[in-house]
Amino acid sequence: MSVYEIIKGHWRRAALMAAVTAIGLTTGLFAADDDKEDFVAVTGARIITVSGDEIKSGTIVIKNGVIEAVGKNVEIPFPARVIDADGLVVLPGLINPCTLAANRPYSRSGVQAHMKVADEFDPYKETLDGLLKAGFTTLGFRPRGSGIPGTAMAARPLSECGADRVLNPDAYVFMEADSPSRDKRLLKSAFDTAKKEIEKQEKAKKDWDEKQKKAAEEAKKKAEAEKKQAEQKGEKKDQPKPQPEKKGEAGKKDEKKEPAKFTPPAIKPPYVPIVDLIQKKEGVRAFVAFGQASDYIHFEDGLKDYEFAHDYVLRNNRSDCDLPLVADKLGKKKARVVVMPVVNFRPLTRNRFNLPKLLVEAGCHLSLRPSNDDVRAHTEFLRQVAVLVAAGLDRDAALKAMTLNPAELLGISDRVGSIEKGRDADLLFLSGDPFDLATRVEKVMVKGAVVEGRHEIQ
Amino acid sequence: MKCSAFATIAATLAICLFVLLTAPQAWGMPQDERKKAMEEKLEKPAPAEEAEKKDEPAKEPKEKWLAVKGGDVYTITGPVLRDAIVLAKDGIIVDLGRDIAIPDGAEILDATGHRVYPGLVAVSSSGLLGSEPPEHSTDVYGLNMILGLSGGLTTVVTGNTAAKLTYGTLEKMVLKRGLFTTISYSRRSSAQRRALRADLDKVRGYLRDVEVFGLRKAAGDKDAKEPDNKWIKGKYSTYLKLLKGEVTAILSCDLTQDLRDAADLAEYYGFNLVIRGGGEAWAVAPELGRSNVSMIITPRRKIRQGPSYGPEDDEDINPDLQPILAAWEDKRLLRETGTSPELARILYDHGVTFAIIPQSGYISLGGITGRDIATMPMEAAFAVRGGLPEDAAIEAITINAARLLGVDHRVGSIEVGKDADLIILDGDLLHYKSMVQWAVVNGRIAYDKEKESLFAHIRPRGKEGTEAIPEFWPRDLGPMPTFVPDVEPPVPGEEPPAPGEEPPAPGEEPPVAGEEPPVAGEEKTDDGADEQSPATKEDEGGK
Repeated sequence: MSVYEIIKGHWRRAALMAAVTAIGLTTGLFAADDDKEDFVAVTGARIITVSGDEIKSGTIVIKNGVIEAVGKNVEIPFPARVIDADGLVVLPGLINPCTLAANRPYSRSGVQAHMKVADEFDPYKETLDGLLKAGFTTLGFRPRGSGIPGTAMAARPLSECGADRVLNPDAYVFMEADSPSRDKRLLKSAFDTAKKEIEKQEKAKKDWDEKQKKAAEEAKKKAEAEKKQAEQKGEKKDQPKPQPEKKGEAGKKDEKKEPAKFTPPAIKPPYVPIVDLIQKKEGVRAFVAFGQASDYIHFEDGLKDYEFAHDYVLRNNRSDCDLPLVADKLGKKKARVVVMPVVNFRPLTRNRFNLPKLLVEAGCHLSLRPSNDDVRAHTEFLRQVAVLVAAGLDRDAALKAMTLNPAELLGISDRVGSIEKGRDADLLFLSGDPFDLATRVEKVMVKGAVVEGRHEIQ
Repeated sequence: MKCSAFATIAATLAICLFVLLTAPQAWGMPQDERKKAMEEKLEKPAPAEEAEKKDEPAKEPKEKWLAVKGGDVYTITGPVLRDAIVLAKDGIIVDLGRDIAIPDGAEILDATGHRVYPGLVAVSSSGLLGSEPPEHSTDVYGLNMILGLSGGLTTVVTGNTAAKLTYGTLEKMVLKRGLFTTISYSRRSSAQRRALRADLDKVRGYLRDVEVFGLRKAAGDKDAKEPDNKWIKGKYSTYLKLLKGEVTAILSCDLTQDLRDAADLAEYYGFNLVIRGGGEAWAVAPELGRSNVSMIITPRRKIRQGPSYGPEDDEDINPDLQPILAAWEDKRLLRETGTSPELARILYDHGVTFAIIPQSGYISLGGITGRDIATMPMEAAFAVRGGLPEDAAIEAITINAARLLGVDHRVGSIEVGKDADLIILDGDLLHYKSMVQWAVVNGRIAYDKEKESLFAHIRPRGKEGTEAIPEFWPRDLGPMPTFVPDVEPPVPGEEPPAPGEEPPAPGEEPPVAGEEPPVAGEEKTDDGADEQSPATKEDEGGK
């Protein structure tokens, strides 16, 4: 069913209802929505809450798609659909913070930070079904291209329209820093231009303030002069009539000028998000993607004059990955990094290293994402992370890196990423421990509803 | 009389005694006292500095000290200092010698038994640093950078920029930009030669006019007109800088005639010229020496033999040069010559400043391996085979190369005030067996052979026969990953020893076992968390 049909259907129904009574329709609908209490209870599951302790055999009560209560001894409300999850492991839905899975093939270059994935997202991509089936309930869709190709969106891989789909339309500004010879100058010039835009605005504001002051002074002088004139004229008492008129006019002019508001000169649209970054506007962050240790050095060097909120996307799936060389530097900064669950060979050696482990030990805030945008990489994701855990990655860090940490990166950790009261009921039902290679996904729940027809794995 | 003489002697003695007692420094302090005094000096900052510190205590940057001690220091521009200390502060050499107090907290590099040379300067290279500008494209952790450092290079020219091989950082990378202006002056194109001379004449005329104007103005001549300078742009501004001595010209030529012409041109117009190539330069060394050109040569090189030019080809030469050429009747120098292994020696004998560069500016692992930029000392050693003194050969890859680039105030020798760019070798720089053990760039250890998997196993720290060569290849790639737990005991004599069972290398701890049982090979991922510099790759050392 296309959007057009939905709209069409809705209009038909609306027209029908309108025939009965318009007011009755609206009030009735809202009232129904408010009063309806849909309870779902998941019982007997081993609950990995991520944000809190693990519960061996607990219950999750979900009201209208939002988690109402989690715990061992939680009362199940009476009209509730009970999902018996005895023997299953429940995990918050997985989150991939950086993917191209649902982009239309628009590729941009240069500074295009104002372009939003939210405007060009394709919810009907077949891959999205597969990703949901694999347990990914939230995805960060990044723009495609080089330079600063746009702003990413955090959304659920749902094809249905509605408020549940898009979680954050302005999740992060995406920047490529993969090729220093190409990107270093571009990023620097982008930030320099943004800074000039800010200076332009500040200057305009200053000029305006001065102008206002001058105008006020002039008005004062005028008023005083007029007063004097009036006094003189009053003494003469020759022309009593025109005085009030003039006063009135002056008063009107003053009234008009005072409420006049300062309208700053418009910033060039592509630079608006960058200006926000420099001005540290809340909720605006950048993702910087690169693949080699040297790229990080160049990025830090190129933008050393600017301080802005940014996280890193490390492309650590290359054969010559040398990122451990900067693990310490990233750790010292308490950097938030997104890496792929890959064990690499150190270049020219047979020695292997576990980059996620090294980053966590260095002090980084770790998030993991599948090493590819296809369905297979997403279905293999849990097993790949299991390998990392077997190779020394801290288990809790790994659990967080798949759920809560990426939610924080996307700015939606108050809605998804953990199992606690007030969070959306995006749950993953696993047949066993998440890091057991034999474990498979049994059910996927989004907003309290088990996703139909999407969980049969052959 | 006697009395007065005695009195004077007594007085002088007293003065001497007084001086001795009060000013021991003037008479040579004993060593430990001097050390103490220096230490005190270091501990107590000058009062002015103290005041500054009080003003802004938080902003004071931390000084970074590095002391390379125990090595024989080959300063190049000075004597060889045996068992000396090179002390660097924030990347600059601040002290040099034997009795030097090393401040607390200084990083100490023990180079006992090794030789310390200044970092080598390659006057052309490609692939070591990125394309211009190098600070925008260099892979600072790249393999080529490591290989360049392993070859002893610390300063290289990429494009028209001199930059350093600063491993892992971009700080203080670029030394000098805009090194050379390329000019062309070959006999193959007489029109080009004429045009160059005409341009240079025009600019020289302008410079004369400017001088005349200055003199007339100084003499109070009111009619003096300032020469028109609107036309000085583009190539003319370059030539103006050239004739003023602000930039250096570079010219590639090999044949005797071309070399002679170039030398004459540089002498006639009086500008700085560097000639690249110079295959037949040995045949015209006297002129080259007289005209004060510098050269970039490759001793091991074969050039195509050039055509022989007769005097009849000289008609398009600058008329000012005609009498010089007419006087030149030695026909020997007009015939084919080719290269000579004695090239460097002959140039040296005639006082020509030259830098040596291998045939390939790349790090090359195929084709002409061994004649690439990673083996630059070998190229200099070949010049020694042709009769060049060893000192001169080393100068040709250090200080002379730096002079040629105009960066000799910062690199090319070990002197107080210069950049702390050092290479520490286990033997003579020109010996084929010597390897760079450490490379220091800007006072920071940029390369340590024992930490590089490619070289660590080859004669660790220059010691022969300490390690048996393992039977498997590649040799030093760390411990073998154990994919299968050791259930069955290995059959003795058939299998090569597992790396875990090998005797640990000297100075290295045995591998820690039993902390965690290896699981399906994944446990063997080494701990590279502390791998900010290659200096901490633990499990790659000398196996």
